[in-house]
Amino acid sequence: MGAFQGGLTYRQYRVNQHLPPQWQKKVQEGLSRHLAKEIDPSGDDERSVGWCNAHFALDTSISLEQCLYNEYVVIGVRIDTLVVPKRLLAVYCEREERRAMQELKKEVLSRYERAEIRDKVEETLRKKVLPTIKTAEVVWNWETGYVRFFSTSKGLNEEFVELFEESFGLTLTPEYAYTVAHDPSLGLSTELLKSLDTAEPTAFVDQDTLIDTLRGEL
Amino acid sequence: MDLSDKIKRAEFLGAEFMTWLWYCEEAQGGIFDLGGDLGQIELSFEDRLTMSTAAADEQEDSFKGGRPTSSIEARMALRLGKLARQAKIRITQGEQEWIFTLREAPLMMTAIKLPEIMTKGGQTQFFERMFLLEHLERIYKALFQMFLELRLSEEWRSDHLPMLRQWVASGEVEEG
Repeated sequence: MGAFQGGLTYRQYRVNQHLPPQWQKKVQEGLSRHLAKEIDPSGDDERSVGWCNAHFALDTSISLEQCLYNEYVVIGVRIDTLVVPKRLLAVYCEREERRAMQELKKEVLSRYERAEIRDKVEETLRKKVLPTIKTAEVVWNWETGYVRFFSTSKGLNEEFVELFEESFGLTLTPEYAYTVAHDPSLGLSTELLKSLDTAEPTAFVDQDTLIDTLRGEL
Repeated sequence: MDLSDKIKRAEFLGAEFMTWLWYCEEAQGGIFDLGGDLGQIELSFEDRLTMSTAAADEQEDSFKGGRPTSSIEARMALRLGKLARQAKIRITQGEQEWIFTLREAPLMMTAIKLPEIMTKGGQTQFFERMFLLEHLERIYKALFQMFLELRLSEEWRSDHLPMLRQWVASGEVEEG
C-alpha cells in the first residue's frame, strides 16, 4: 500500500511555509541530523525514529540527491522499538528469583531484591532481543507543498510530523474537512470561509419523514 | 477556538459531503462538470457503504455487495436521519478509472486503485502513479469545493436542503 506499487493509502499534509531558495541544503542537513539509528541495547532507549531509504529500511546513509525524483522528495521513516516482551521478562525474572531465594535461603524476596533482579534480567535480555522495525514512505512534492505519509496509524503520523518539523524547520497542516476548505487551491472566498466557522450540521431528513419512518419501523 | 477545535467542529462536513455526492449521483446521473482542465467526470457509488447518525452510541449500518445506494435498507437509513460515513466510489474520466474508499472523519480517500499503468517498474512508473494520484486529488478537491460553495452559501437552507430532503423522503429527485 505504498507510493511505488499496489493500492494507495496515506495521510496528506500541506507545508505551511514557502521553501527558501537554498532549501536543498537545509533539507540535506535535516536528513543527515535525523537519520534512523539502531537502538543501543546497553542503553535505556526503547524507541528510535529517523529517516531511511524509502526502498530499504536498513540503508540509512541517504542523501537528498538520491531521494530526489524531479519535484518529489521520496524518503522512508523508520521507527525502531526495542522492548523485552513482558511474558519473557516475567519467566526469566522468576527463574532468577528462585535462584536467589535458594542462594540466600529465603522463602520471600524483598521488593528491593526483586526490583534489582528485574533490572539485571531486563538488561541481559535487551541484548538478546531484536528490535521491531516499522517503516512508511513519505512523498513530498516540494513544488506544490503537499506531503503524503503512507500510513494511517495515528501514532506513526504523530511521530512523522514531529520528525519532519524538527528535521526541516517547516510545519505541516494535516488534511481534514476544515483544513482542506482552507487549501488555497480551492479558492473559497473569505466570506464562505467565515461561514465555515459558524456552520452547524443539518439534518438531511425532515421531521415528518423521520416520524413516519419511525412509526413504520415500530 | 484553536485549530484542533475548528477541525473537530467541522468534521460533520465529511458525512454531509458523501451524502450530497450520493444525491448528485442520482440527480445528475453521476456526471459532474468540474470546469477548467479537469472537465467532466462520472462518479458512482460501488458495493460498500456504511451509514450512521453522528451519535456515538448509534447503530451503524454496513452494506456489502450489489449497489447499496439503491437498496431499500439504505433508503430507510437515510429516512432515519443516517448519513453516508464510508463508501467505495468509482470515478471515471475517459478511459481512466479510479476506485477508492472515501471516509468521513478525517475526510480522506483510502485504498486508492489507480487506472492501469503501462510502464512497469522504475522511476517512470512512480511518476505515472503520482501523476494519476494527483489528478484524482484535484478531482476530489474540485468536488469538495463544489459542495462547500453550496453548503456554506445562503441558498443552502432555502434552495438546496429542501431538494435533498425531498429526495430523502420520496427517493425521487425533484426536477430542478
